[in-house]
Amino acid sequence: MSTPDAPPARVFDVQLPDVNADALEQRLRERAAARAGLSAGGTELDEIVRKFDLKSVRNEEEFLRFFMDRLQELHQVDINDFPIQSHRGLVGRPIRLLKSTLWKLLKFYTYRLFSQQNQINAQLAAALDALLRKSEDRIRKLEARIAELEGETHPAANKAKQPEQANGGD
Amino acid sequence: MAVHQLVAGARLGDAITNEALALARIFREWSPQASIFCPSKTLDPKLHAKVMPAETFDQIADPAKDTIILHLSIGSSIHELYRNWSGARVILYHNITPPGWFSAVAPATAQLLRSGLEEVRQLAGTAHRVWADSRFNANELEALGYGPVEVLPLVIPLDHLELPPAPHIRAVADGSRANLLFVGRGAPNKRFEDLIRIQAALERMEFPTRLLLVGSFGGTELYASLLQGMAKELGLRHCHFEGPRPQAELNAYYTAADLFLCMSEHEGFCAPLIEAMVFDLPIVAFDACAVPETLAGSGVLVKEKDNPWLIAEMIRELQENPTLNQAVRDRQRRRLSEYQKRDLTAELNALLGDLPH
Repeated sequence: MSTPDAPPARVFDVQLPDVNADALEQRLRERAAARAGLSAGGTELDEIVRKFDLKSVRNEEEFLRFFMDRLQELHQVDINDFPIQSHRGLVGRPIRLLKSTLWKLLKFYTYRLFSQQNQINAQLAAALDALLRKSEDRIRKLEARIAELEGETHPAANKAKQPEQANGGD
Repeated sequence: MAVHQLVAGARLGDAITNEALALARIFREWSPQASIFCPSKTLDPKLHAKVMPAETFDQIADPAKDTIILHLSIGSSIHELYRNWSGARVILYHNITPPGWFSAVAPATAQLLRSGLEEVRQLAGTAHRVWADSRFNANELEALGYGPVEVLPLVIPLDHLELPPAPHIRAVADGSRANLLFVGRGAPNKRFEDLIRIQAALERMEFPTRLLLVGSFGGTELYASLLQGMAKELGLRHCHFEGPRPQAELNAYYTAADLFLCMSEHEGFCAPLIEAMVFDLPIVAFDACAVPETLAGSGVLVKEKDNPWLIAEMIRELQENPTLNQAVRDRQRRRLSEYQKRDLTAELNALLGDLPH
C-alpha cells in the first residue's frame, strides 16, 4: 500500500545520463493536468474513446452489435459548411477565397446528391440493424428451444450436468 | 550438408520472410543447396526465384545430411514436413499473438492462432535446438515445457531501407506539422485506438501533428472501419490511414516522420522499432512484451498509457526541446550500432553446434 505522500509511479522510462527524468516527468505531469483540466474536451475525449474501445467486446456476436451501434451513429455524412483554413500565410488568403467560392458555387449541386446519399445510408443502416435484431432474436429463441428439447430427451444427462454448472465459476 | 528453412508463408516485406532470406544467404555460402520452402498457396509469386514450393522438399532435402529450421509463427501445413523429417531439426519461434485479440474482429484469424498455439504445445521436445527471436519469446516457450531456449535476435536486413524514398510521399513532410508514424499491420493488439486517442489530445492542445498509420488491414477491415469511425467522432483532421506500402514508399514515410509512436500491447520483437532507429526517429513506445528488450534502454518507454494528455505532452516536449530529442536519438544510435555489429555467421555456427551445416 502506498503512503499518501508517495510520489506517483513513473510513467516514462527515459534512460539518459544527462536528463533529470524525475524533473522532466514532473513538468510534463503539471502541463498535462492543466491541459486536461482546462480543456472541456478532456471528458468528451474519454467518453468517445470508451465508446469505441474494442477491449469491452469479447466475441464476434458482441462485436456485430457493437459495430452496428457505432454505424447508427456514424452513417450521417457531414455536408454542412465548414471553416476553410490555410497555413500558407499571405498566399493562403487567395487560396482560401478561391476554395470558399468554389464550395459556394458547387453547393447547390453537391448538397442534393450528398443529402440523397445520406438518406440511403440511413435506410441501409436501419435495415441492417433490423436484420441483426431479427437474427439475434431468432438465435435466442432457437437456443431456448434446443435447451428445452435437450431437457425432454436427456433429462438424466441434464440433471447430472447441474452440479458441474453450479461450480463453473463465471 | 545443407540448412533448409520452412516458413508458413512468404510475402515481400514480411519480417519472417525477410529473416529467412537473410539467413539463407549465409546458409548458401555454406552449401548452395540450402533452400527455403513454403506451402504454394501462401507463397507470393514474386518470391518464386528465392522460395521453393513445399511439394519440392522431398526431392531436395536429405535427412541423412541436412538440417531443417522451422520458423514457427502460426498454424500451417508446413509443420507436416517438419514432423515427418527424420534428420536434424531446429525450431525458431517468432511468437503467436494471443487469439483473444482477434476473436471479436476476425474469428477466422483467432482460430488459426489458436491452432498455432496448440501446435506449439505439441511440438515441445521434438527439436534438437530451439531458438526464439527475443528473450520474451524464449520465456514463453520455456513455460510451455520446451527446455532451454537460445535467443537469436530477429535478423532484419537493413539494406532495403537504403532504397531511395518514393518522391510523391515526401509531400507529407511540408513542415507544417510534426509527423507521428506507426508502421504495423492492422491488428487489434497494436492498439491503434491509443494512437488515435493521443493524436486527439494533441489536436485539442492545438499542437500541430499528423498521425500516419502505415500497414495493411487485410482481414481486419471491420477493425479499420471502427477506427476510422472513432477518428471521425473525435473530429480528427490529421489522422491518416495510409494502408500497406511498397518499400520505397515506406522509406519515404520514415524519412518524412518526426517521431515513431508505438502503443502495441503484444510484440514478439517489433522490427519497426529498429527501422525507426535507422531513420534516426525518436521513439515513444509502450512497455509491452519484447518492446523493452528491442529498445534495450533507448527511446522513451511508456509504462502506463491511461493518460493521453501526458503522452501528448512528452511528444510535444520531444518536438520542442532539441536537447532532449538529440539525447534520445544519440542513445538509440548506440543501440542500433550494437544491433548492427552482430556477427550472424558466428552466431549461427555457435547455435547450430554439432548439427549438420
